[in-house]
Amino acid sequence: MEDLHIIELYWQRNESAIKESRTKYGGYCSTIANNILHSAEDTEECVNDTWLRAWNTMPPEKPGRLTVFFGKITRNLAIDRYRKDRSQKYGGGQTALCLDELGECIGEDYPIEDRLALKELLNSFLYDLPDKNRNIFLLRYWYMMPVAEIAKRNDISEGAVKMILQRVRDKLKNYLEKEGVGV
Amino acid sequence: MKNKDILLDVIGDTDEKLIPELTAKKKKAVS
Repeated sequence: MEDLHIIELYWQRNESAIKESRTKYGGYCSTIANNILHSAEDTEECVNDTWLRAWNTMPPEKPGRLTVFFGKITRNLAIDRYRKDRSQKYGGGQTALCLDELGECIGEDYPIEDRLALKELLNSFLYDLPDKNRNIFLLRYWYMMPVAEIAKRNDISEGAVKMILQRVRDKLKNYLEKEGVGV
Repeated sequence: MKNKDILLDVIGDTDEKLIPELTAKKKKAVS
């Protein structure tokens, strides 16, 4: 079913919207939740909660890209769940690793208060990256995808992925430092 | 909340136009 039709079903308060969403995007959202949580049971709950959150958001929302709209909801729900019970339960997921890696990019001397400003800086940074590097960065830190999986998808070695990620993180660190974020 | 947690959250708000598609992996043809 076309995305526009699915969105229409939400707007009409037609419950088949949830069935159609699950059919088309259930696997996609499960991948994201499982990357973060590494737990089949919690992944299923997060994905089910995604449709409910979407139901409560549309209307008034009219997503431009339904894939990313659902993916973002799942990502937020899974990260919330991870934070509630992080170390003992979700040790096998990618989140702790991603957080450690991102820790290299940003200082902790001064707490960030202006998230909106950081969002604008980050978007500007990402727009300026070459497509390949930006996609690898977002596969890692938006989708929380394991490095091995990113390597397979891009037909390059894991070492090459790690190298690209390291270079982008170094560049982001310099950029954020220059802008005075966290330092 | 630590700054790295905030950065993780803010990455989630990346402009949707930039988020790559998560298409299925290509399978090599078997001859």
